[in-house]
Amino acid sequence: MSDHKSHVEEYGDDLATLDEARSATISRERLGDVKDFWPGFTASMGEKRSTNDVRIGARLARQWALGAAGLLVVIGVSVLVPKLFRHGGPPAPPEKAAVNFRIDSVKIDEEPAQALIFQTQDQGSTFVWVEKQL
Amino acid sequence: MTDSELVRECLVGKMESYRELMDRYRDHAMAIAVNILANREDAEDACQEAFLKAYRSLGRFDANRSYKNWFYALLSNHCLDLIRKRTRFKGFLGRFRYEDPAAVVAPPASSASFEELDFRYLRPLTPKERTALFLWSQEGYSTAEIATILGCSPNTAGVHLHRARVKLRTLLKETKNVRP
Repeated sequence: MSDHKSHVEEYGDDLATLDEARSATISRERLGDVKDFWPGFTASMGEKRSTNDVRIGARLARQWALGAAGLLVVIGVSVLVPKLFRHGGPPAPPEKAAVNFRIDSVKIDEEPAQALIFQTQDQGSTFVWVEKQL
Repeated sequence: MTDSELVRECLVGKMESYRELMDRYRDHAMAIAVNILANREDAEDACQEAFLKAYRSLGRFDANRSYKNWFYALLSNHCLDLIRKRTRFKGFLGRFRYEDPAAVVAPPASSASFEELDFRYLRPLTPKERTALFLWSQEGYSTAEIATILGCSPNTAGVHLHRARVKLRTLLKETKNVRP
């Protein structure tokens, strides 16, 4: 606080006063009625209880997400590979450069992370967004 | 009953005690989240998640410390984390010419009932500056207490507060100058 006081002495008029800061920020009174978070909380707890273990629930969700991503890759590969290795018949038309990838698990700082896959409408680009679980 | 006693009851499975804690800090939580996120709907979501997160972390709460400050630290950290994630995601998408509108996380439009909240002086500030300014002006916190919430040194907290006050003063001057 002493540092802050010395700043105040140094900068004087260039600093907003306490009253100015109070009116610029949102006080509890200005918020009016605040939502009751209890129903949402109990609903979340109920969902978690149904799986008996929060971590198991989160792990299952991740496994489902990764499984779905893996399935997409498998389907993509199963369509692509026969085309590439087809013997006989007319030569296959030149394919666009294809990049195959596979996600087994995603971690950030040794913690399981969430992977989201986006594809542009022309299917020319695929983005894999990985973020920490909250 | 004190906060620490309520926490102890929660830890032995008495859920009603947590409801009491939520009721005590619901308004405080919303106020700090609204000031950090500068958006009421985002703040409600953040509070909802933070109360759940806090409940799961009660076992790590030190009964010798203030529950309010512990919860404030958890909530502000959660809000700052949300902002960081959103900024990174927008930056990531911004690298590409094509942006799938469905993939872009757009900030939710404020409903008419929330329009009365005026964020024009908060939005130009960084999230940490907003946090420091709110805690100082509305809660009467010292830089040392702000530092505890932000998880930084008191000097750094002082810098955040100082910058917030300088920016706010500049904004106020500009507002006065444009008035007819």
